[in-house]
Amino acid sequence: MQNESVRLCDIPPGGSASVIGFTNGTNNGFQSRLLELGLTRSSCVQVTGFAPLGDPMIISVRGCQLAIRKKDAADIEVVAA
Amino acid sequence: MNKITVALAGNPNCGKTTLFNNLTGMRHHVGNWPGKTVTIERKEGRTVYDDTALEIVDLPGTYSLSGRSLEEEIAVSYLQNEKPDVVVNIVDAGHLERNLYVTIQLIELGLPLILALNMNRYADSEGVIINTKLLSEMLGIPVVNIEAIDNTGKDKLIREILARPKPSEKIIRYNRELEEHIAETEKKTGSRWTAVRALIHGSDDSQIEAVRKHLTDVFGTNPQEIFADQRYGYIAGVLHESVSRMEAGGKNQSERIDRIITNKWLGFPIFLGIMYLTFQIIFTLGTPVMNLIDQGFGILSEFAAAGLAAAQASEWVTSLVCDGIIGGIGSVIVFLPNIFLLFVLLAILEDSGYLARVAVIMDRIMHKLGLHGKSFIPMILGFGCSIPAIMAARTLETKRERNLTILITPFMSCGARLPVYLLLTGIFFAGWSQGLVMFSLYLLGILVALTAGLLLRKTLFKGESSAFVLEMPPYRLPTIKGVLIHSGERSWEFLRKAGVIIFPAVLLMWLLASLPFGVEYASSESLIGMAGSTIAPIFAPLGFGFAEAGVAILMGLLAKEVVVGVFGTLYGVGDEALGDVLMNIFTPLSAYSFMVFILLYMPCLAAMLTIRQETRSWKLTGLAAFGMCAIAWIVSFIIYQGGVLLGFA
Repeated sequence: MQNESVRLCDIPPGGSASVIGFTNGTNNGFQSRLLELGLTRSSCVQVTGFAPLGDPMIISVRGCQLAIRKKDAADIEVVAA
Repeated sequence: MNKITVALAGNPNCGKTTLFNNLTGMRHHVGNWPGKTVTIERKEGRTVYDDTALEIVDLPGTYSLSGRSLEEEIAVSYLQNEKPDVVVNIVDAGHLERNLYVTIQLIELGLPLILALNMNRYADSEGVIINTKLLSEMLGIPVVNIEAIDNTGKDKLIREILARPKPSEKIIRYNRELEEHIAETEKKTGSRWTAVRALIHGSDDSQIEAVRKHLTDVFGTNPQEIFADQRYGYIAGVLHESVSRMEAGGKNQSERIDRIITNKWLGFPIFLGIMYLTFQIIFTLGTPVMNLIDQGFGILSEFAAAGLAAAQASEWVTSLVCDGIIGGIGSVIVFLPNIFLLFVLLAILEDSGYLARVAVIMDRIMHKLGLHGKSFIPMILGFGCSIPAIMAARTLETKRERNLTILITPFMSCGARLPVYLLLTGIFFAGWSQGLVMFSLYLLGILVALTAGLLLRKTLFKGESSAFVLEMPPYRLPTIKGVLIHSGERSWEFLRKAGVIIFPAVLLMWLLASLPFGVEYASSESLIGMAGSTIAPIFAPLGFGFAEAGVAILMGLLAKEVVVGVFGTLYGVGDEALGDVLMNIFTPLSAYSFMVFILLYMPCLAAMLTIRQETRSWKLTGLAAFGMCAIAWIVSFIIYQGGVLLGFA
């Protein structure tokens, strides 16, 4: 049960997760950007919080804070840590 | 004299431009990177050390050298084609892991490289301890500790540049499977760097494509991810050896601040509070200076008039010098304190990292317009001056987003409109309500911009915004030097525009007010008086259907700050008497309606030309001009007639 994969957007604020991959994982520019920013396989992501209107979500990857829309985070498959 | 070309490369927000300013002083040249559909600023500077000239080029900040975005494309093509003698890679010591991603690509590119570790003090406070010597050995390049904001490490960095380092031999090794295919591809492409790039991004060559397909099968994912994985794996290895972390100091301060700044309940009140405070500061600090300058020009004008009278100059010469030239220059200079203050405050917000948070807070709303939260940044800069703001839309990723942002940015109340509000609120509103009136105008500008954006999105600019990922740089205390350079550059841009456009505009107005020969200055028989009375009836439903307002609006097309000067000239009175005159023709309600019209109708000529230059479309420029005038009329109409109905007339 613990190792079930979920979408990044479902991780609650304060939670962390480990990246498995991109669900519609083909060659698109947005995913390459995320890879370059360090969202590679088994990298650790912390969800710091959400913007006042509930979107985007703020995550912390490799010591850097990034804002990413929930819609896009839904394509990132993770395991809760 | 020897010459060394030095390119500065690195991530956005790593202090690259600060280092550039520090190395070159203010002696730099801003140009454009050639051959691109959208222009991006190219900053070059020159400095001399030990009889060697350093030609320093500031490359656009990038997270990678993949060449996918415009900035990356420029950086890569510069590095590949112009082969600078030395590349200085500035990295943020507190975010080494992500920053080194560019470093290992620069090493792969095979150029002579120096690593400048910036913001060590900040990293120290975060509990990050870097073994510089070990890092240098592992990467095979000189590593220098610097603080871009002061001179720490500057001499050492320059010595390393003058020593002309060699390209690193410690090139990243991927796993065996990958290395075999890189070697094979290298025979085709000629270099390791081009081989790696072809494998990551694909190529026209069917054999390379076959290799990519093969790699995808073997690794179970696409080449981009394979390479990113292994590069980050390599970086992790380097950092594991050379960096240690103290657990105690490790609590991230920026995250704590963000918990308040982007808080569900506090986020928006804080944002509005900061905006309100910004305008209060400008109002309180700027206005006294402004009055002082105004008085100075008044004295100058009297002095000139007395001198000319003594020299027995004719009446029209006196009028040209006093009303036209001195009045014209004065009407521009007088806004400078306010505009400079606004630029200073915006630079503080930008350099501290707050503007990036505003983009995040606003993304949800901007998304509804099919835009990026990032589009809100040009809009905020629009509070200063529409021209740099419109140009700031260049950083957006798609043409649709750029054009849409450009069209709504001029609704943001620019600094040149401020004097109009200052004048009228000063006359018609008292005490605390002045700040409120001003604030409401700025807010109205934002609301109209958003509404117009929504309308455009439903009609001309259908489509989705590009995916959103935005780095939130750590909060930093802005430096005085950084803020001054930033705001100084922008103020200078405004003054230059003022000199080129506003001054001739004021002279033109003087001429139109004096022709045909023999009419009383700016009377209803003058050209401008006739034009003003002709269009005046259009504004009657808005509460200001008299000729002088018509003239002011016409002249405001050339530059909005002229509007105040026009009233002065048309009524032939100085600033103090102007209040009494305006009291007779405006009511508080019609004055407010007039300010709303000035806020919303088409921006000055210089801004219109910038729109044309950036969108490269006369059609869109025309649409902007017509649309903004129409919107201004409608909104002023609603406000005035609504106010009359409510009994405010």
